[in-house]
Amino acid sequence: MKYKIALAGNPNSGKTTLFNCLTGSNLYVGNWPGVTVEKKEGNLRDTNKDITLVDLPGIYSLAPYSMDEIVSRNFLLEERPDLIINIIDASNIERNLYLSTQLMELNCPMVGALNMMDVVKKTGVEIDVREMEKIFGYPFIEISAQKETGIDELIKLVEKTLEIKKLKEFPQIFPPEIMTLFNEFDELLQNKYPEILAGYPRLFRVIKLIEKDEEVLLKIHNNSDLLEDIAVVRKKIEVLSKHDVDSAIADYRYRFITAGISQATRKTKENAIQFQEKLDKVLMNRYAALPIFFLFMFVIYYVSITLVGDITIGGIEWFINDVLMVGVAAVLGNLGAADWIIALINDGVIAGVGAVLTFVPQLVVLFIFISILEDSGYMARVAFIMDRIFRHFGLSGKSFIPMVVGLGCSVPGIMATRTLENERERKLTAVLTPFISCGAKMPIYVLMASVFFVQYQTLLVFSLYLVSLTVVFGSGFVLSKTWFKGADSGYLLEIPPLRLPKLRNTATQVWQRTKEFIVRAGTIIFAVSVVLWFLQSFTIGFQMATAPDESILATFGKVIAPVFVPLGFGNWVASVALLTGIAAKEMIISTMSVLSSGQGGSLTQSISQIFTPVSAYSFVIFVLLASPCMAAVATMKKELGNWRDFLFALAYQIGLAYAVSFVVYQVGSRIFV
Amino acid sequence: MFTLKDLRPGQKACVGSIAVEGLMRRKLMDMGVTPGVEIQVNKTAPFGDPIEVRLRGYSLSLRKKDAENILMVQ
Ligand SMILES: Nc1nc2c(ncn2[C@@H]2O[C@H](COP(=O)(O)OP(=O)(O)OP(=O)(O)O)[C@@H](O)[C@H]2O)c(=O)[nH]1
Ligand SMILES: [Mg+2]
Repeated sequence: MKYKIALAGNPNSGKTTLFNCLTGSNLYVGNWPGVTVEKKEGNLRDTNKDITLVDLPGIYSLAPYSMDEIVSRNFLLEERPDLIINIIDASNIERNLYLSTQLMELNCPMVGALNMMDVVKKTGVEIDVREMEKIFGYPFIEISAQKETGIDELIKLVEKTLEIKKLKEFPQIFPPEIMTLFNEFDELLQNKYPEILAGYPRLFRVIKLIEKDEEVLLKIHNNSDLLEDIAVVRKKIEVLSKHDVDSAIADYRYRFITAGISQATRKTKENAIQFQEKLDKVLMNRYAALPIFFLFMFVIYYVSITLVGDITIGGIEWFINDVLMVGVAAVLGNLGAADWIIALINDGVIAGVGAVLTFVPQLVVLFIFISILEDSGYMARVAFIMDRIFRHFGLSGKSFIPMVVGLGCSVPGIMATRTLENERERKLTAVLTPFISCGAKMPIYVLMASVFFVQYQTLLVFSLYLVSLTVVFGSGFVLSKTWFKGADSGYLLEIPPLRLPKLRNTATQVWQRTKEFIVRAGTIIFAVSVVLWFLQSFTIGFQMATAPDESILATFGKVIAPVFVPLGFGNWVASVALLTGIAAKEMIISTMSVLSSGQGGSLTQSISQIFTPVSAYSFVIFVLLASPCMAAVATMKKELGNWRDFLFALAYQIGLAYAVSFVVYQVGSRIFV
Repeated sequence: MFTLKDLRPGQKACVGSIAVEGLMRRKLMDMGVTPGVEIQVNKTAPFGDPIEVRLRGYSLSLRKKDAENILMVQ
């Protein structure tokens, strides 16, 4: 027998942490609501049953608001899992149980996992799980997904519950007079509209119709008789509860919960003000909040670029050029390999792949910082601080979260836009996120800075981030009044508690990202480097090229180069590098490295010949702003959905990059002659 | 008559009724902003908006535009 089990719960309650622990996966975990945006499957370990576990995006209720929440709702409703593990952040139990009262209406076996018990124990709260089961009608267990306590017991409980054939009735949440109304309406539905939402759980169907849930209304196709019947029940509920229907239903649920937990939980000690709260006060201080944010960003780039770079780059370059290449030449030479083979390996593979790997230590440090930002709870706070500013530019504070994620890589950044409820804001954020420089672009800036702006490395890179922020705001302002015009969706965001980032979590995340970078170096970059080497070693007539200028690549590059003349880098090497950069951004450096070693010079030498300081800055700006890599472009297409918006976005990004670089070069080259 | 927006950081009161319209209204209720619940204002963002409030044991942030449509009672 195959089972399918869903992990359902509020955002940020620890579903993915539990999923990783139960299946041995390494999915993305972070301390803000809306980390998971897609459903993910895995096999439950440590059980003799065949169980597929499904991690879902977090939801506050079964009402659909954003794309990721709709995924969860549809899975629970349409795919009908064999069991739901309702994960509850026990340190925020009241609000978390609200969703539970809705899940109870799905007629599906359920197990409650009271997560974060490590935190709860510290605050001196005790939860009586037996009492909870009596009140809510399904078994609970205390766990800590992060400390991995209570996991075996949870698995046992899941196995036991799967074996029970007959589903117990869930308790009634609503008072008898309201239940009578619901039951009457249910009978009316069965008699008068048997075909409407036939497969849905009864109570769920009744309540969603009465609430006039949007998705459900779509399915009844303006059946005016039914709408009238709904209006009649709504009126009755309003009279009975003395509230409007929405607040009445929410209120009954919360009342049931408040009564329940006051019975099942006990506070054993008053908790003192914690360190976290004091820190929070400082971080979010009215005057200090914004400077602190920029200070953080500056420190991140100073440490990862300048400090780490100073220590590591020299050594790695020495190793690649003076040890590896010399060694390869000597060994292969002794073995009697042809010169061209040695050249292929040294000037093609090692130059190309090595140029990228040089930056791994700096990227690791950058990734560590990003991961700490994500795991500490600072993200939601920045969204809170920035909302007021972002609003002026047609976005909400929540748009900032995808952008910070985009500092690592644009692909998850663009996907993170799914948590935005408003379609216009979501698309606009997806178009703007690639303007935030991803980690793979950083090596390019560092390289250029090390040739032309040695003393101002961090400053240069930081200036690029300011340029990208300016472009994000400027574009947001313009696009929200033109292409992506419309109403704003408002802003409502839970602020999670600050948490000390967990070492293991950080380590996994940093490793995942670094691995991806290294794997790319070993695959795409390796392959493209080899191809580039061949293309630059032969002429169109397939003769060995005597000068690189005659090679196939040069001939081809010279066709495109004129396009970039107004931007200051109209030579074929830069053009080819930009083209190969479409595959992966770090390919730009590999390409220049392969091409320069083919020409017998060092990378820095040839860069200083190709560029002037002004054209180098213009080049870097172009790389920063012009369309992202293939993977990010594909993700953008997926998130925008239609070709119209997608082609517009692409044209906009490339056009804007061209325009900004043009201005930078034309103005700059007149000032600094 | 006063609203959630009128509370200063540190002050608390109970929700009377919610005059917010549309989707935001239902979202607020899902998040636990229902009649009778006690809400404390924690802080205001650096630019004066949004605000952070505490209710039902957790922190929620919302804009003043919505806060001024949440009517409070002592
Ligand atoms: N102290 C403590 N922290 C936990 C525990 N479980 C998860 N966390 C932290 O809670 C945060 C959220 O965890 P996730 O697993 O990403 O939560 P999620 O439910 O998948 O969140 P969404 O994907 O946004 O819906 C992370 O910072 C975790 O490290 C726990 O048992 N104890
Ligand atoms: Mg998750």
